Amino acid sequence: MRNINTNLEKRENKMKIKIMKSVLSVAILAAMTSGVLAAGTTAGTDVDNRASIAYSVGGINQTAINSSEGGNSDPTACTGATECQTSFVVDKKVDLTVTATAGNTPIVPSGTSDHTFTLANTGNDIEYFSLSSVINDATDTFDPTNCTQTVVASSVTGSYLDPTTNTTVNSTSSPLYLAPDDTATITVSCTAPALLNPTTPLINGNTAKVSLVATAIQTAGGTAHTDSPTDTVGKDTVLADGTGSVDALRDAKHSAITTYIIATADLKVKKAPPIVTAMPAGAGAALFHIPGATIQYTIEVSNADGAEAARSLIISDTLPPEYDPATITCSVSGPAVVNTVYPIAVSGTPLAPGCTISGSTVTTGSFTLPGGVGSINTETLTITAKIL
Amino acid sequence: MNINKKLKLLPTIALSALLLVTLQASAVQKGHLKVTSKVQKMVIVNKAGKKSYKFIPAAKVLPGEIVQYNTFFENISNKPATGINIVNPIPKHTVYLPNSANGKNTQSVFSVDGGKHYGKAGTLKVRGTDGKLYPAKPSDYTHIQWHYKGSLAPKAKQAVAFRVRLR
Repeated sequence: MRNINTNLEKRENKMKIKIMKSVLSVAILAAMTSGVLAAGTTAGTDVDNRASIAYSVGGINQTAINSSEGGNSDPTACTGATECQTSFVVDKKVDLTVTATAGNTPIVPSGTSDHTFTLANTGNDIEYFSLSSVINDATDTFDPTNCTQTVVASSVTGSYLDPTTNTTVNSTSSPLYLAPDDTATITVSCTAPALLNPTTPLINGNTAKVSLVATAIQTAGGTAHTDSPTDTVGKDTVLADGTGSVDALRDAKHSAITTYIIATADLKVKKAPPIVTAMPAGAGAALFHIPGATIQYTIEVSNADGAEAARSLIISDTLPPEYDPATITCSVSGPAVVNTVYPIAVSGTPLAPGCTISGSTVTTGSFTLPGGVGSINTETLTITAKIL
Repeated sequence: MNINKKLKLLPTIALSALLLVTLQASAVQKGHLKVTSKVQKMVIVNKAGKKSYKFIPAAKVLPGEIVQYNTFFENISNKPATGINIVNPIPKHTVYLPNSANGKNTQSVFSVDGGKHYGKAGTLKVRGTDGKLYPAKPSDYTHIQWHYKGSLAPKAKQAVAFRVRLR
């Protein structure tokens, strides 16, 4: 026999987890603290420049001369802070970004579900925005019957003066009014039809693709911005927006798309034929459908793997008159719980639904059957009775 | 001197005095150099997949675009000018574009402290919020200074230029 010595070195695996802030948020933070807008210098700002030349002639220092656009040679001229500046005006850049929060939104037939979007003013001027939903998409299964879009929050603090109407607008004004770098949170709420078409139901996995479109508009309730036709020395408009899900480059619009996906219960009901489980006394071992024999049958309700929970289910069955009502028994088994305790709390025992017998009718309590996780979930009502 | 002689002298003295005043006025009003500032916008031209740059008058400038400033200096006197130093504050709302300061026969230095001290690009330092010194970035520059080497002859014209990006 040989003793095998195995020296196992204990090694500790050390994992270093670096938590990195998203680059975008850090960049904006730096810009903000230095007093610079991420969206750029405000439209209409004058940018001035002037150079100053010092020199000597014959070894004697001369008075410095300031530059001007037309040329200056007078050392006494162009000395004031605003004199002789070579300037240009910062133009209005219209730019906006719509993003959809990640993930598909579950929806049930005839139900309404919400999805959250963000709109950011990434231009350099204060803008009004209008919102709309686009529900037609060639790549999805169905279209919602209706979608609405609501501004639920914005980063706007305080109010702005609308220079076109000289009125004060604030974050609760309509339509939406955002300064450069401001964002708005928008909820798009869509309703699914009851059926895919009059003869076809909607099933789990069917999709509806919806885009939220934001348009930068010229005035409250007005039309989209357009490029200024000519260069002027004043503030002109330049469209700089990108291409979104349903809009074009430089059209004063941006959009993002999201998917609503049917996630409903997927139920099947199966009633098994009755089987004889016991014979009356003295009848022998063979099982026959004779008076006094005990029969048993089950009714199973199943909810598919991954389906949504089906709530307020009741299984009810009335036995035919050949069975003695006084001998009926029932029991319920499976993962279903009474409606009030769903979703199941971590601690405590789930309350299973029971069943009641009235005359020849067996009825379960109202219950919720969750969708299966890795398999089908089945709730079984077992009924026994004696043949009259 | 009798009064008649005095009277005869008067116009001559007055005229001389007037001439003297005029000469002094000219000497004060005109420097030896004429300085012109020009601003242009850089646009990228895409010709058959090849990118090139051209400059157009800076009328319409958007954040992110590049602007070039030229400062022309011309010797309009009849004496050579020496020790020429051109100082240009980096315009507000702009960031100096690295390595863009240029000018024939010049040497350029930069300031990060509002024009008090100048140094070569790459040697300047700024103090961070943590108190430590860090190499200065082009976005820290506050001024550019060009030193024109040698002398500028009468009637000669030179120029310096630099580029910035509009914030």
